[in-house]
Parts: sequence; C-alpha cells; structure tokens
Amino acid sequence: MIRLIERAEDGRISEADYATIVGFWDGRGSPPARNLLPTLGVISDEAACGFLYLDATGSGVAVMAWTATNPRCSTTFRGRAMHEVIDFLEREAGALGYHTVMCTHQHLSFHRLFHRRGYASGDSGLVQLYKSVSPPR
Amino acid sequence: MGAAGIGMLFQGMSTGLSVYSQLQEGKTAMRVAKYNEKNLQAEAKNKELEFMEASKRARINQRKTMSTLRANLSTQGTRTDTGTSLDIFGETAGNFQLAISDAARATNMEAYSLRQKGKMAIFEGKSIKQASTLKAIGTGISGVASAVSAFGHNQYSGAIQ
Repeated sequence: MIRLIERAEDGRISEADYATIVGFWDGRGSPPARNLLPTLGVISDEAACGFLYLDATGSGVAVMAWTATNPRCSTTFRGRAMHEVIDFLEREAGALGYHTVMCTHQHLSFHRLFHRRGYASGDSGLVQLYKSVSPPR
Repeated sequence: MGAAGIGMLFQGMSTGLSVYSQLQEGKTAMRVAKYNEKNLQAEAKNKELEFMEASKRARINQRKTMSTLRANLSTQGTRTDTGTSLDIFGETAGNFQLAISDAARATNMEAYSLRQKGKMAIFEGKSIKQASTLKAIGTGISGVASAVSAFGHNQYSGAIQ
C-alpha cells in the first residue's frame, strides 16, 4: 500500500518520514537534504519511496526524483513496492495535467526498471549540480 | 533519442499545474486511497482464484489417494464397503474435506480483510481530502482577514484615504 509523505508544520516532509527515507540510502551514497524534497512524495510499505517535482511554468513536464528502496527488505518486496511508487506517481502526473515524466538515475537496475515501464533514454553521463540561491536584495 | 526528440512527441498537449494547492493535495490523497483500494481488491480476487485452483488440485489428489487406497485393499481381498476399512475410507475422505474447508475459511477471511482494508483506505482518503478542503478554506478566510486588517492598518496610518 502506498501513502503520501507526512508533512511537518513547515510544510516539508516530517522528521519521521525523512528518517525513514534516509535509511533507504544506507550504503548508497548521500540522501537528499530535507529542504530539497518536493511536497508531493509517496512511500510504499516502508520499502520504497519516490517524489514528483511539478513544474508550474506550463511546460507540462513533471520530474520524478529520489526514487529509492529499503535495502533491508527482500528484493522481490522492494521491487514490487518501487513499481507501485512509480506507477502511482505517473498516474498522478497525468491526473494533474502533465504530459511527460522525466527522471535521472545513476544505477543500471533503475535504468532497466524505467525502460521496462516504457521510458526512453535521453543523454547519459549526467552529473547533478546544486547551488543555493537567494532573492535579490 | 535525445531530449529534444522526446519533447517533440508531446507538442500541443496539456501543460500541468500552476500551483499545487491544499485542495490539489486533498485530491491526491483521494487518488492514493482509490489506488490502494483497487490493488487490495485485485489482491483479494487473486487469493480467491489461487484457492479455487488449489482446491481443484486437492480434490484431484483426494480422488487419486482414495483410488489407490481402494485398489490396495481390493488386491488384499478386503471389502471396502463395510467394517474397519469403511471407517478408514470415511476418515481419509473426511480429513481431505476438512483440509479444503479450513483453507476455504482462511482464504475467505484473508480476502475479506483485504477488502476491508481497501474500504478503510477510501475512508481515510475522504477524511484527508475533507481536512485539506477545510484547511484551504481556513487559509482563504485568514487571507481575507489579514487583508482586512492590513487595509485597516494602512487606513489608520494614512496610507489609504
């Protein structure tokens, strides 16, 4: 079963849910910072999670990000949970009026999973880059 | 295919949201509930189909075992329609039937529990949707209230005549 992430007072993901998803990155690199996560995210059976950035400028493109599975669950269980997460987020993007879902993944297992779900590959060898910005003074 | 090629496929289609509001969030919660309910219903149906298949096999197995038993007793020259051998026959058949009935009960309970979970998910989804709507209305009211208060303040301070 999937569920929406819980939100804290500040509107961001709750500390409890953040702690849950941080565990999914155990031994798999750095988890996303709490303030980088979008407000639309789902967790399936505490075994997989995924988030959707919704573009509000009218491009019709939604970005699926931070999809990860719980390494402590069995491969079959977390695979099924991941399918549920992706399936729901795709449906939700469609329901909200988006025509394309885009995502970037480093791991081959995810490439295979997304290809099986009908995704086409774009450019490869991408690097995620971040910079903090602030409003002009 | 490059990103430009992928983009070309979708020209002239919908363009998504301008804002992901509390109302939208409520609708998303409802869609989560419906999604879970549909999956749980499918799981319940699968359990029932699995049981039907398993019980069919169990009945075939029962017939085979009973035939073997009957054949074994017959070759020994034992009558199978009276006395102890009939008791053995009856007990064996009864045990088979009992096992199938137990499995049927367990499957029914499991399927019922999954369906109830689905109904509960819908109920929760509705509650979250209602709460989001109320929150959105509340935000609207407090927005109006702060606008009124700002107007009063500005009028008092001379910004508005």
